Amino acid sequence: MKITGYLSEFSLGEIFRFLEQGQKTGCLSIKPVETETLSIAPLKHHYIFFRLGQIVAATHELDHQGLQQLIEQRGFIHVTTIHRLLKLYPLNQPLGLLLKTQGALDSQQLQLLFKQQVLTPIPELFSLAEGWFKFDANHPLPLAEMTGLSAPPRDVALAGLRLLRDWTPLMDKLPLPDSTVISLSEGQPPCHLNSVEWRVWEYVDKTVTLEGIAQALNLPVLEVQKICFRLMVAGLVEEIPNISIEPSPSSPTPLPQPAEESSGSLSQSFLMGVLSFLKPKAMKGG
Amino acid sequence: MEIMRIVITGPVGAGKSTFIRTISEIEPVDTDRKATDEVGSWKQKTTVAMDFGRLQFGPNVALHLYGTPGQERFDFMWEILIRKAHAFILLVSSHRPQDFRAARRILAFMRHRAKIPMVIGLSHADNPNAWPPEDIAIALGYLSPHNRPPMVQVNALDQGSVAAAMMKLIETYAKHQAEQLNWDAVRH
Repeated sequence: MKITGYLSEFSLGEIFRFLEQGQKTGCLSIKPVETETLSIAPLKHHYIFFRLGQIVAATHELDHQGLQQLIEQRGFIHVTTIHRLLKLYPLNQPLGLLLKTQGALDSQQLQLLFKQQVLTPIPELFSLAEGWFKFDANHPLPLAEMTGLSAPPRDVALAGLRLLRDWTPLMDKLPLPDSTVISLSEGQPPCHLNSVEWRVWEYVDKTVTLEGIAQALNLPVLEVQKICFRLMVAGLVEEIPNISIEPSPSSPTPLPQPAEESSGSLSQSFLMGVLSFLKPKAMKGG
Repeated sequence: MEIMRIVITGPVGAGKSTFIRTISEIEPVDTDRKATDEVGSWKQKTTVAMDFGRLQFGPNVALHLYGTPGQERFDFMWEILIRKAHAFILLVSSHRPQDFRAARRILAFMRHRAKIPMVIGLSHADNPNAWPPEDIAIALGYLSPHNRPPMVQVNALDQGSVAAAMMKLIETYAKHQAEQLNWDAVRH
């Protein structure tokens, strides 16, 4: 199963939510697309690995060398030592776990490595103006790149969107100012929210529009839209659009309106009749 | 006169007008106009009010089909349509992930305003870039395969395919109505 598209169409936060909620396993590759903005550094490919919806590793290359180089750069173990260990012990578990089991790394060092490999670079990806993504569910997990730790995409997405300065690519994806938001989880949110997110969270399910929340909290409406988008991407809330009171810009032709009688139950004979009527049409086409 | 009113909804370009045109026995009332926003860059015309089609299958029995406005603006027209509808079909283009957000928004709107049976119709399912139905369901917020509406593949240009989708919706409605009647019987 391969899923592809542009980040401008299906944003990284939405991809993360999809992969987490679908408990997907595989490789998400992101190829940045050159935009008009000046970029001095060459644009690197990104590969993010998911196991049952959780992020387990991230790399720039598919050469299985990333984690070993990181371990050496940190001064924990030389690559040659890792190679010697790998000759003695087969890599049938994440490399980080194997090295920990052999006493070569401790838990704190693994956490530092995971932070440097996953938690720091991925949030920066949310600032990409454009990119081509592909999720390959058949890509095997690279044990050599895995520390054995994992992170919920929800938390990584929240961190990334909090860092975001230029929201231009996401403007058309934000919830509308006259919408309300409802909670998708019972009780407290299952992840850490910052103080302003908490203040907005207090208004979830209270039939207050985003504009109303902005007024109540004395925040710009756009700021509340961004916060609600973060909560939506984290899978915490759902937007409920309201009926717009603004008239349509075009003046439509007068149309047949639904008859005034109520939409009460339909009789069994009606339902049987309509099914009998449609069946030959369906068979003719099939 | 016994009439079943069905709403055909979905994001811009999902094939709502075509769906109605394909199955309607009358020339549908077409309210397509030049698109006034970013839609205009890829779809010259969009439905500004609603489409209407009819299928009369007896002297006093008919199906009425109402297509929602194409541009994503939930105005009074939606309110009128939903209030009287018996059931609805949400059409989604399988190969346009950028539409899933709008489809999800429409679903949330419909769910919040009307507890009526529905079917998800997946168009362009044969496109090489089409997402699998399972994944579209997740993208629309249906995480459990045991708790999601029926999903059918639809070719809006093919009368047989449209009729099959309509049959699925009517069967779903009949099942829903039977459950409601059973529930009412238990309560009384």
